[in-house]
Amino acid sequence: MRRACEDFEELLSANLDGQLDAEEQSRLKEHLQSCYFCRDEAKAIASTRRQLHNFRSREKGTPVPGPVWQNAVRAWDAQDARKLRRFEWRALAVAAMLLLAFLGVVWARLQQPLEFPVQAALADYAQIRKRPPRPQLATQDPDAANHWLEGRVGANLPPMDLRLSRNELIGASVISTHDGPLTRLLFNSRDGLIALYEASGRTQYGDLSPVQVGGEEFRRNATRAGETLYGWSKNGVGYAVVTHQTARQVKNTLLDAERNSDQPSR
Amino acid sequence: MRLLTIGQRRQFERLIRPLSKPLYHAALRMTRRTEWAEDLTQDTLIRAYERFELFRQGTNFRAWLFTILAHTYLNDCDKGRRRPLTTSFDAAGTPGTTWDFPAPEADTNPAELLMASTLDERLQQALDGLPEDYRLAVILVDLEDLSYQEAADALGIPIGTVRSRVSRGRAQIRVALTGSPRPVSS
Repeated sequence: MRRACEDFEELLSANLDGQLDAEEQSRLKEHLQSCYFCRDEAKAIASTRRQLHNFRSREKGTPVPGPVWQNAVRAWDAQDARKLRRFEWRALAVAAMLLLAFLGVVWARLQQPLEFPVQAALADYAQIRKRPPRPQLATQDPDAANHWLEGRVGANLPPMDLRLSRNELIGASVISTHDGPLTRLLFNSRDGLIALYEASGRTQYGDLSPVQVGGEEFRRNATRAGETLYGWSKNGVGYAVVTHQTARQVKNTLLDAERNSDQPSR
Repeated sequence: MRLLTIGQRRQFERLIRPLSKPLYHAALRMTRRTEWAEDLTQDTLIRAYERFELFRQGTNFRAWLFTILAHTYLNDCDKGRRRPLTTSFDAAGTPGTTWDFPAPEADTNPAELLMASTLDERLQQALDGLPEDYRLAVILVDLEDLSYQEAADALGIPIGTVRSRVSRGRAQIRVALTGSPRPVSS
C-alpha cells in the first residue's frame, strides 16, 4: 500500500462528516485529482457510511422494557422525596436561626440601659418656673410621696427626703414622656423651686459633661435660661435634680439626694 | 443538588420520553446483552435526572443524554463488571441474554426485506468484530448521529482521536462487508 495514501485514509473519512479544515480539504482535493485508488476508497467509505446510516434508520427500535422505565420513575420520585426532606430540614434550621437571632436582638435591646429623659425634665422644670403647677399628690411627707409614686409607676424607688438640706416637699407628680413615665418631686428651697426626677431603667446621660460636687460625680446639662440639670444613677434608677440655682447653692441638696438614692429598696 | 421544580420535572420527562427507545437501542448495541442493556438504560435515566440541573437549556439534550450513556457504559467496563458480547449473534448462547436483531417493518418489499436483513446481519457482525474503541466511536457517530465533538465529550477523548477511530472503524467495516482489503497501487 502506498504510504502517501495511508496518510489520506483518515482525511477521506473525516471529509464525509465535514470535519476537515481548509488546508486539509485543499490537500485532499489535490491528492484525489491524481490518485485513482483513493478516489475508489472514498466511494467505498462513503458507501459504508451510508449503509451504517440506513442500518440505523431501518431499526425501528426495540421498546424499552416496562420495568426499566418504571424503576427509573420510582428512582426519580425517591430522589425528589429525599431532596424535599433535606430542603425542609434546612428551611426549618434557617427559620430557627432567624428566630434566635431576632430574639437575641430583642433581648440585647431590653438589656441595654436607656437614656434618661434629660430634655423632658428640663422642659418640665421650665414650665414649672413659669407657672408652678398643683402636684398630683400634694404632700410634705416623703414616705407618702414615695409610696404613691411606686404605685403609679410600678417601680421600686427609694424615698427621697431632702429636708436635711432645708428643702420642703410640695408634692409628687408623674409626667408622661414619649420615653415613658418620669416621676417628679417638687421642693421649695430658700432660693426657689427644686425638682427631683426619677426614671426607672433610664440610667444613661449621653454626652452630658461630668462634674464633681462635694466629691461625688454628676452629669450636668445647663440651659440658656439658667436651668441646670445634675444627673446620676444608682441601682438601675436614673435621677436628676433640676434647679436654677448655682452649684454652690445646691451642693447640699445634691449630696443629700445622692445619699438618699443609696438607700436599699423596701 | 437542588430540588427540581414540578415544571422542571415535567420538562425532563418530556425531553427524555421520546429518547428512551433510542437510548435503549444504543445500550443494546454497546453491550450486546439484554440484561446489561436494561441496567445501563435504567442507570442512564436515573443519572440524567440527578444531573438535569446541570444541563444547559438550548443545547443538544440527545447528545447530553448519550454522553451519560457512554460514560456509564465505560464505567461498567472499567470496573471490570462486564464485557460486551462480541461474538457473532448466531453463535451458541443462553437464550434471552443476547439481543436478537429487530425485525424490519412488515409492509416492506420481501426481496428488499431479505436484502436488508442480510446486510444488517453482516453490518452487525462487522460492528461486533471491531476493536472496542473503534466500535464505540462508530456507534456514537454513525449510528447515534453524534457530532465528532459530542462523541469526544462522551468518550472523554480528543476530537482527533474520534476522527481516527471512526475512520479506522469504517475502513474495517468496509473490508468486512466487501471482503476485499484496500486497493494497493503498483
